[in-house]
Amino acid sequence: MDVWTYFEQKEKEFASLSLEPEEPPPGQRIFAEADGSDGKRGRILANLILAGSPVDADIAISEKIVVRGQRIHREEYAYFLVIDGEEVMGYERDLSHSPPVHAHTTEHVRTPAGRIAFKRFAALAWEEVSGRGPDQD
Amino acid sequence: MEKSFYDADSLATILRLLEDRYGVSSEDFYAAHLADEGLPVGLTGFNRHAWASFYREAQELHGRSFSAHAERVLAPA
Repeated sequence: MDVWTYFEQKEKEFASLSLEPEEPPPGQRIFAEADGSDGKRGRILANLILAGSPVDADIAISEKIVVRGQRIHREEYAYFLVIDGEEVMGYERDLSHSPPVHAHTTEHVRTPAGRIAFKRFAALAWEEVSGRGPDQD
Repeated sequence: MEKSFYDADSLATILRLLEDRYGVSSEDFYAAHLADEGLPVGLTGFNRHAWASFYREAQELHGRSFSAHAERVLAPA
């Protein structure tokens, strides 16, 4: 296992969740390996558009990952759902906070939360936007 | 998938971009982040997370590059 195997899995996962990375400018990439880490450390940084959402919505994703044996460990992550330019929900693992894993509601209010898989966060995001059609509040 | 890489210089570039955007040094931002007060106006939760994370790794990579340098300098002749 190296970060590139994981990145390829994530690329497929995004597509299966109807999430389309905002096209980065030529030469820029959403996945990157830490130079000199021999494929053992890397990052994801992207805005993923919820394709087909009834409102303008995307998920901002940041992951800092490290390979331990055959497993990927998300050392740090942040997943934020942004609707019409406003962050409405977020989950983080931030090593400088105590506890590191927590969630955010609107206005960036911090609340306790357990670790969350990205797939689960995407499901919550879809749930949130599906109730926000253009004709609904 | 085409591979791309980042290093201490790439992270420094990202930090400078955030510093210019929010008008504060990364050191001051990070102190405010830890204190949970005095954060730049308009800083989103996501950008706050990313900035803190990039800052920490930049520090870490600078430390590693110094260790590698020290190892080379102190190696037996």
